Amino acid sequence: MRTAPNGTSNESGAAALVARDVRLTYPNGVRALDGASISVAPGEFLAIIGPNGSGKSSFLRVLAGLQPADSGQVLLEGDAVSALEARERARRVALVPQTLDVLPGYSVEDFVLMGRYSHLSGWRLYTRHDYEVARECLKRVDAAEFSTRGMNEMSGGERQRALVARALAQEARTVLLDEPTSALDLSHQLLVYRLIHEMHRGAGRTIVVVTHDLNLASQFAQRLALMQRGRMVSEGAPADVLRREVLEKVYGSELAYGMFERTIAGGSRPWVLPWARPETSDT
Amino acid sequence: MMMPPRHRAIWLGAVLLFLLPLLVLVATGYSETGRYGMLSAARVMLAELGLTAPSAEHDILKLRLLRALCAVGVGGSLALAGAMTQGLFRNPLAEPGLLGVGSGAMLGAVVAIALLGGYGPDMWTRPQAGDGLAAAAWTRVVALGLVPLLAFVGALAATFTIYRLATRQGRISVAGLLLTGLAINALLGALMAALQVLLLPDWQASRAIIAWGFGTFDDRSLFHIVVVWSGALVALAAMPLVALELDLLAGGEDDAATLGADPARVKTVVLACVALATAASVSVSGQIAFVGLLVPHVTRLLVGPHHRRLLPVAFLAGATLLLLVVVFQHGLCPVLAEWVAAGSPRLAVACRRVTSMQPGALTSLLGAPFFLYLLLRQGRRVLGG
Repeated sequence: MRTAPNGTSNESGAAALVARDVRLTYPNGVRALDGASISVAPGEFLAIIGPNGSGKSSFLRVLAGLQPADSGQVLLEGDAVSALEARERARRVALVPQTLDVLPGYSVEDFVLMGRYSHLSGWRLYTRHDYEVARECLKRVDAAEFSTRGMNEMSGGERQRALVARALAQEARTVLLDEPTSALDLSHQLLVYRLIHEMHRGAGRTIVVVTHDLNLASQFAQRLALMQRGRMVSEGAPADVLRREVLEKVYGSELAYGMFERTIAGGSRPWVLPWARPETSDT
Repeated sequence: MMMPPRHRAIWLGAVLLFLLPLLVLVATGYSETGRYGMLSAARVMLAELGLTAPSAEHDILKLRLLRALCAVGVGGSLALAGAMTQGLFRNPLAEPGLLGVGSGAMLGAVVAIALLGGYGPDMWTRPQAGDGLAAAAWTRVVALGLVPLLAFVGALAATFTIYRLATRQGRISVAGLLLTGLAINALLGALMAALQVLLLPDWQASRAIIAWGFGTFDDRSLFHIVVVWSGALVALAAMPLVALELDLLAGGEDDAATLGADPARVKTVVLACVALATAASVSVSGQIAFVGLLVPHVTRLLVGPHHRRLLPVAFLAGATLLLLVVVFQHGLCPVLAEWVAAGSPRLAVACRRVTSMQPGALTSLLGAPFFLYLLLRQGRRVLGG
């Protein structure tokens, strides 16, 4: 696979993505980020979790370079993300949106080819190589058979496959995903996480996913970061973050805890469910 | 029609490219003022270059050739600007008029017509009696240039105002642009209405305003052609810079940015092209309705949404459409009038009337029902965007 022709940032052992003390207040006065920091190692799978309004999605937009922070630093492979030229940035980091309304008339293959934009040369014509990469990525997510169908005729699961295929075609070493399962039923939630797993293990990408779903994050991610009020309150292996003492402070006490015996990421992992605990009759 | 859109685009483009010069020849050779054959255009050009002696009908033929070239430039510009606007706004119902180009140009033109006291070829073709030669030349230049100039300035000023007002913290939102455009268009329309009412007693000026409002290609001079084609060439030259990026915008601005496009740059380039091309067209020929909305829309149905195909084919289709209108009015209608003259004199009169109709009125007359038909036929696709 081709990589970005920029050798300055590839010191060995450097983090794929670093954010230091990022602050962001929106024009309407809402303070979205209040000193958020994170460091993601190359090839790591990190899930950022947290309640509604904790700043997860804002943080992801800052990490992707879509939203400039008021203060703080975001380094992508050692370079400030805000200083990167748009195409150079796109060769290093891809963002998979939650859903996407694509105008009618574009086929799935057209859509996946768009991921090649940052690799196109002067005349910006797709080469044979671009078509090959697109076809390979479609195959990787089992979407080859509907590549000629219209992007806006896809079902939810098919569309997710196309979104992931496009991110793969972008050939960025880091892939960010914004709430990839929030609108999907159980089987599709699993499908999406299997695709993310494939990007991580199969294609060797660094993954940062923002999600509400603690249990899928716990099963698939190597590390969790829990956000509250615009900053990290807990960080570490799923078993260290999904603990009663930590979650009660963030989500309240109505939670039930348990363990997945075996997971795809290896070993046992905790699960958490909302539980409306009934009043016990003898108190 | 089961050809893939890519092949359809090539076919359509080739057919239109073949048709356009042919129609220019027809439009120059045949009209209500006489039929001089398909080679008239060549004869005019040779004479203009000083290679042959001008024929007796040279002046008439030259005016016809200029009219045809004007129609081609205006049709192409409006359709291309429309296609770019619809791509940028991600909405098949968007058109350059939303940016205030039309109403700004109209207000500028009305002001100029008021200052001149009218607008027509008699003001720039014949020297006024009693003037000195230099003074006469100067008045002719002013008479010729003031309306396009003020229309052009008005169009750009309106677009720029809307653009500035819709920009917040260096970012321009599409919704903001639409709403600001609506407000500014209303304001300009009101100003124009007020001016028109004030000018009502001045018959000459009122007549010129109405004529300009519906658009016309008649009696254009070389100067007009240069203005129209400058705008068209700028927009055509910018096509390769924005075509693929407009495709990336199909998923929204943020999505395009994550793919490596620069939505702010695309927006600036597209808006500048749309403003320039439309302002140049409208300042020369007045309002030609529906071309900027309808032609890109129909072209998209035929060749798909990919802007690398859509933009050039839309340009050719718009140019062909307006040229067809000219040929229909000045080539076909006089012939029809002759055919039916014996049987039905009234119908013949009607046919001759169409000849002197404003082409802008004709495009509305044909365009509006067709658009309605499209809306009804695939309402969900059009309205659902």
